[in-house]
Amino acid sequence: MAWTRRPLPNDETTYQVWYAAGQWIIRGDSSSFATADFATYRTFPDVLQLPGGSYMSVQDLVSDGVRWYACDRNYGWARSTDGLAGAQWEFPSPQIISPSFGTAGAASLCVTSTGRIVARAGNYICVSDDDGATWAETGLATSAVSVSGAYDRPNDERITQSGDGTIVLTCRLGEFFVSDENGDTWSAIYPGVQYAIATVAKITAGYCVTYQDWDIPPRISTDNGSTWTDVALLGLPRAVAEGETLYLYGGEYGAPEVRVTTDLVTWSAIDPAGLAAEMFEDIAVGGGVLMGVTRWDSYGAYTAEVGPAVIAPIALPLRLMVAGVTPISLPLRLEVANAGAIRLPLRLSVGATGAPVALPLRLAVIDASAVGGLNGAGAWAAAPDGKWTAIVTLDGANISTRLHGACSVEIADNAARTAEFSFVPAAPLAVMGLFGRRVTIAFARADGTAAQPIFAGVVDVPTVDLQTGIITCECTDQAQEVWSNTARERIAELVGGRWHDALAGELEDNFAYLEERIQGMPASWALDVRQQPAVLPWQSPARTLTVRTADVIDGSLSVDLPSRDQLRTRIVCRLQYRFARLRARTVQASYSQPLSFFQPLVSNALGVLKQSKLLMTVAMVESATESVGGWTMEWREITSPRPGGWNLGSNLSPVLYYITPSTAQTLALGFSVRYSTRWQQSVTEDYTVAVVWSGLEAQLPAPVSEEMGASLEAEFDQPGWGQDPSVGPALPSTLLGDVVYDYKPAGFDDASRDELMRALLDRAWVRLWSASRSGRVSFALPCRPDISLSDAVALEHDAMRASGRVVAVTHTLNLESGTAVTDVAVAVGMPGATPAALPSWTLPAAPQDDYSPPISAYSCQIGTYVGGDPASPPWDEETMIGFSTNYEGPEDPSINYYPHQLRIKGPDLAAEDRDPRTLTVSAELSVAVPTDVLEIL
Amino acid sequence: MAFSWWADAGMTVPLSRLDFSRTNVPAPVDAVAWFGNPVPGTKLQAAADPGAAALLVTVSDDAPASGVEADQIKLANSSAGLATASWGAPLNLGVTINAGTAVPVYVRMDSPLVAGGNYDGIALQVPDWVELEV
Repeated sequence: MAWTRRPLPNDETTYQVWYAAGQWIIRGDSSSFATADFATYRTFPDVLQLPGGSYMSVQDLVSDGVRWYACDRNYGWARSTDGLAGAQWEFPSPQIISPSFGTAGAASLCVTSTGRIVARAGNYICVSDDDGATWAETGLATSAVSVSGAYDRPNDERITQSGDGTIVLTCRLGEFFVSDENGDTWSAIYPGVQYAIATVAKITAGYCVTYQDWDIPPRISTDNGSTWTDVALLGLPRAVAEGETLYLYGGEYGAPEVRVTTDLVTWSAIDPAGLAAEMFEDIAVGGGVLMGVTRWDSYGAYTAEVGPAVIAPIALPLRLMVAGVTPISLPLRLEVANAGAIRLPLRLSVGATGAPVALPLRLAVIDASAVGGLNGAGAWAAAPDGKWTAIVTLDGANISTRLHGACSVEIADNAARTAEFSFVPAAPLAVMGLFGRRVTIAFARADGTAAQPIFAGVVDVPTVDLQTGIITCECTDQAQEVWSNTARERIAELVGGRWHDALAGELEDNFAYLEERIQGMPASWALDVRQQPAVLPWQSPARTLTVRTADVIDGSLSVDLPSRDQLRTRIVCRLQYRFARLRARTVQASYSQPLSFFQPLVSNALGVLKQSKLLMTVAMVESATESVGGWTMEWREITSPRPGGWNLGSNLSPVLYYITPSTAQTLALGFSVRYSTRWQQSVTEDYTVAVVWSGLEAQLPAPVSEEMGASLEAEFDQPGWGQDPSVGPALPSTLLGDVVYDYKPAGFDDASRDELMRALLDRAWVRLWSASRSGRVSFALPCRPDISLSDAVALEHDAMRASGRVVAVTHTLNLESGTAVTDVAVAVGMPGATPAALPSWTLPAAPQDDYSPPISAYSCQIGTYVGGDPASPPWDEETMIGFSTNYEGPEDPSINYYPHQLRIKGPDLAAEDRDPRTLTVSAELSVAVPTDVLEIL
Repeated sequence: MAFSWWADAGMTVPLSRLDFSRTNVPAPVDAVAWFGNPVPGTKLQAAADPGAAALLVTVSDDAPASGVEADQIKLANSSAGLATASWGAPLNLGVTINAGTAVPVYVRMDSPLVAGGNYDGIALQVPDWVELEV
């Protein structure tokens, strides 16, 4: 094997070469050529004009054997329409391959052996099985390995498929990415060096990796990337493979060397005979030919006949798939433990049995006439002579015959039912022992028939008259205790309506829960005569009794009108909904100077007018970019000057400016860095919604308002979130700009906020009604034990017409005379007799945050300051943020010189971005509230 | 404390008798009682086959052919269930009732009796039970 020089048609200097489908494409500094025989050359496009008139460069070029595919990382991708001629191109749709990247084009392409196109767009690896019509994102080419010194090298961003089918992707990171499933899945391999990878070649025996750095040796791995060893070969090495043969090129300028291996253990070398003193910028292999292209001194390209490559066996994988069958596994475990008995505890449960747990039932049948309607006929038919008796039991014993004085029972909304009676004990009695004893009371005809229960409960306060020995018992129906022992689910079922825990905070007691919950419903609570919890709606009574003048005991009728100080015309509801807004911001800092900025200013006539300036260094950029306070560096690209020599003067008066390759890679003309930061901001949606009873407000000289409020806070309990990227929740990444995520977990989300708002508005409406319902019409009747809180009364009295639900009843029986009366109180609201239902509510829209950060929020400060010139102002540490340098030459004490340094200042977060934010909403909702019949005649 | 009958779901008010009251115009009358033990730590199961057989509530009649009859009583686990329950049929309370939980027994009585007075002699009962430690 020896080398043959292949001069190009116009002695073009070259730096990049591709081989595909028998064609060599050689890229020069100004144009590209294609050849298949090294005898005839034709130009090949290195720039394509896009349909919109702009251009894309051919940054990567691949072929499926039928046509060419070309791509540009930022502008588009193309497909040749004239086969392998490459003169005609089309730009398939879509041009945006990765929606996540959102930019047209790709950095590299590959067409696999199955015809699948694999592309890398931004950081996203995408595949297409329909020639680019649709794409799927199957991998992410990002790396946590920090690298230094990444710069542009030919063909260092490539996707290749090796002879064994493995797809290998390189992209100037310290890791490369492989897929052995035709691009469906990807994994990263880190060869152990924190430097940008230039090339990766893969054969069955393993991988060979080369780096962009001149002094970093290639590395090989024969265990699928787990361990790596160096190959002693320096000088910008490059590795390529064809089939099972791997070629590794390297060597100092003027001393090139190509090694060949098929097992990564034994190596041979290609005879350097025929090579001039140059260095290959790129190499490619195909069809048994290895080509190297040179950049310096116009040597053009060289080829070496390397013979047919060792081709990997064509394997046909076999797979047996049994669909729909789940393997039935039976794990076996052998445990050898300390010898001993294997115990199985036995338990005998002996329970208590007994007689059937019985509950006697009683049916009490009373005359229908005893509960006849109140229609003005006068006293109750069951007691035509107005004589009554009380049937009282104490712990099941009937003590009715020993009763003394009066017996009364008081029943009221939102209160316990109470009773009081006195009796003469049959024998000396320990009064204190009466606490909690069970009591039932019924009122019956004087002969004891047609008894109607009106009380069940316990003795609450017993007292004794020491003179007479008469014991008086104050009794309660234990309403608070019963409600406290009733499960909240049962209370919710009984009360109904809307509820949110944030209305009342933590409530330990179920009775307190009842009192809070019922404020959202137009209803009252009580126990019925069986001591069972009952919720009594203000509307829809069980029955309505008509009470006429003749029914009412003379002189007992009275009215308390709703008072103005109790009325409310509006309830102002204040709801504060607070949550954490998780924010992330990505900014990009870019800085660049042309090489001419640093070169001396030369006049052909006057020679050097200005000395050169000290260049920026790679180390300087690395240090400055990694220490921007408050920001985390996500990505960085440093542009180094191209090595070479320039005559800035004339042939007669040359001014030489020369940068060697080893120096060039330590210098920087510019850089681009992407930073990110994330933080959380407290946001409060502050709603003020007035529920207004417009009809009432129009009647009053001024609004009468009351406030009620609630707050809902979605607490974010990840204190390290802003500092530790591993702490979730993760936010979607963005190349530039902001990502905002409002943390609203279930139970604290917008739906919960709306639920709370509706529950609060329900309360407001009920409050308006309850405030107006403070009027009372009271009267006394001959005893009606059947009147209860579930009844409504329509009063048709000569002095007054009124209607409303019963809110208090007191039955009082004089045991000596047998006379009994029932005092009734009816709640009445504002006059009008107009029904109204609880509104369904149309909620005000959630507030929008109109603030958007100014462009400065995404801008880094990097200025340019040149000292060493008579016009240079004094150095100012505070304001001169950026790259500072000096003109070279002897120092002059009268001139200001600057530190040779680079400093970057990241953007500050504005108060609107950082501080707690309150977004207010105000609204007014007009409602109607039920009114009652109330006419004073 | 043993399993017994209560007036309320919270087992605050012990129930020694479930009263139904109506006028002498026959009509169905509904009531609800709760069965349970407020003190946790035990469970109730059917003594015949604990953990397998269901606990039942039956209607017992001390004096058949007088007063309210067993087949004039319906039992159900819910108010709505009364509509489809069978007259006189026992009610299934489940295999186990854990102490601390009360189960409701809804009762509908539909007797043709019209003469004024109190009619006793009929009862609900849980006949076959064993109380075991949990």
